[in-house]
Amino acid sequence: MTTTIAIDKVGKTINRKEIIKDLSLTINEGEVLGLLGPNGAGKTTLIRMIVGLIDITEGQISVCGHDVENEHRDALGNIGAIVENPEMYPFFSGQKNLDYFARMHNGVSKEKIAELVDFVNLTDRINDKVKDYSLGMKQRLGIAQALMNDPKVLILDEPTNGLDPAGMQELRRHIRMLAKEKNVTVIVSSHLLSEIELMCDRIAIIKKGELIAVENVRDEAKQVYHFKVSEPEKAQVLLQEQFDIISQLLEDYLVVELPAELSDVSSLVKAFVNNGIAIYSVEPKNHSLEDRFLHLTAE
Amino acid sequence: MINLIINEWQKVFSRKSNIIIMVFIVGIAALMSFMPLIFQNEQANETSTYSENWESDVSQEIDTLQEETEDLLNQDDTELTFNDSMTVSLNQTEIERLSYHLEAGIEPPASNNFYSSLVSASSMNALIGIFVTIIASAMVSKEFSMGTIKLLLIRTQSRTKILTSKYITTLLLAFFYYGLLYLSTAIFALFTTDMNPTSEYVFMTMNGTYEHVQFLSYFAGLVASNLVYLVIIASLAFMLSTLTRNTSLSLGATLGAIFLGTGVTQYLASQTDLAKYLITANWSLENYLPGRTTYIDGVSLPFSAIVNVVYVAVFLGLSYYAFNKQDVL
Repeated sequence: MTTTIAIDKVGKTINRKEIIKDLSLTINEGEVLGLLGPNGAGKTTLIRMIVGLIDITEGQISVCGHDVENEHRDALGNIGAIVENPEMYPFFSGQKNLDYFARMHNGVSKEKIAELVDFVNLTDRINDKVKDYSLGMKQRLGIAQALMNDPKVLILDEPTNGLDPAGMQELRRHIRMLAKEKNVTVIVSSHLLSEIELMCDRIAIIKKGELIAVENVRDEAKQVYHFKVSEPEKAQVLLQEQFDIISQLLEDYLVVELPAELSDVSSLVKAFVNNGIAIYSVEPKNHSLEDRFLHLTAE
Repeated sequence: MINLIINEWQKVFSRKSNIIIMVFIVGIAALMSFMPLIFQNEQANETSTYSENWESDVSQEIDTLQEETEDLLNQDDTELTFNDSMTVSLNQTEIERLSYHLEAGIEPPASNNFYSSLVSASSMNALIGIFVTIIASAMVSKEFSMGTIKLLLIRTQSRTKILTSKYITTLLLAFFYYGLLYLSTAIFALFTTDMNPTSEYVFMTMNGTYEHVQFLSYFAGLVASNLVYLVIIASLAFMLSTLTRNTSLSLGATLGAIFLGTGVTQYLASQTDLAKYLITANWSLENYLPGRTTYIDGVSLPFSAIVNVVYVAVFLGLSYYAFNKQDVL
């Protein structure tokens, strides 16, 4: 595994206020890292330091082996990014915006731009002015812009803002595809775990400028299900007797943690049905990660 | 770099204010050219052009004017009417002008002539200055207010290069507006004025006497000093836009300097000698053209040139320092 981004004991002080404190983190090639934290935790500040928009008060950041401050151009040549909001020129069409940014790079062909437009599904609206775009369309245009220089590192700040569920799913697919097929390192930030959980390999939790935890999404995923059933008490007894599972009744949900020997939830469903318990819904929950996040970021 | 300038140019030309400015400039040029036709008095029509034997024409005209003046002055009535006294003084000036032409052997041009139309268009330079201010004061700050500055700076182009492309575009635009003013003035003037019969330009000096110069060299001096003024205005607004990142503030401050500069400088000059080091005391180089005069003491063309260069260098130095140094939040 090659390290693409190395953040080493980084600190940032603005107006004597420490926004980021002694933060170290390495991110590998082809990895999707989620930067998670409540608003004002310092996610965007960290991203701004990586792309060289603001000075690094302490420590170093290197991208593909190039120091962000001393080898600014080499480092930035490997990065494509959206910082904060996907702000494009509202008076230009989407196409004109992309042409504009293409002129800032060497050798971005017309075909390459058309390909990117197709990739983010904007072909129909690309000649409309950006001021008429929805936030989701701006996000997509922003992604096309960020991929223009075939970056090794893609940084997306709050990319799920303004996306509808379909857009979210599409974004997830794009990011997984870039990471798996093109070996792009991706950093996505969000203040909502649920929105980035499914696209990330690892999640770094930041609170008040400090890195408080890095969690592996896949390992951590214990299988927890929320059952909504007609007779919860009867179901609880049934689970204990038949499967030796201690379940919890939370409001009108039955919270069930699947033991390791059960590969999926189907046997439980079957048992309920056979015993005349009606099932209204079964919802998988990555409970432990969500709990941990809430717990870690709580005041 | 060329690509960056193309980008900046495209942005300016997609702004509505730029279209309005261009229409305004052409409109002003048209107005200045057609006004004399509408308000021209009969007398001016009479003296439009001269025959080949212009010297006798001119002496004849001087005689006629003199007779008319004497008739008016020798009237039996005790008081001259307002109109009559105006005619007397206008005739006096006209007689002096024509006599100078006779003396110097230069055929007088029509009263509404091509050269004077070009020269008077330069009085619109302050207006061009205002337009340049409008564009220059938004040049950097608008990127910040739109948030697009981040997309510019996260690419491999250095901040110095980005700022340079913006400054060059600002200057090109200032020259473009100025060129548009002159191009449209010249085109309209071809139809509305009479071409001058000689390449000499005769003008009245500050103390009321007449002198003449080669028109082209005079005009070149005028254009050069106008452009210097525009470069200074553009640099000032550009610096303010970069330092404050606030379009309205830069616009207001620069317009303030344009409108109040002369008055304030004159007042300060009456109080202290140091006023001559102000940029506002030096940015109008056309004051050094023949026949014109500066309004404060102790300045000269080389002095003003040096002061201007120093100021522009400081403006740019501060802009580049701030743009390279500041955090982009």
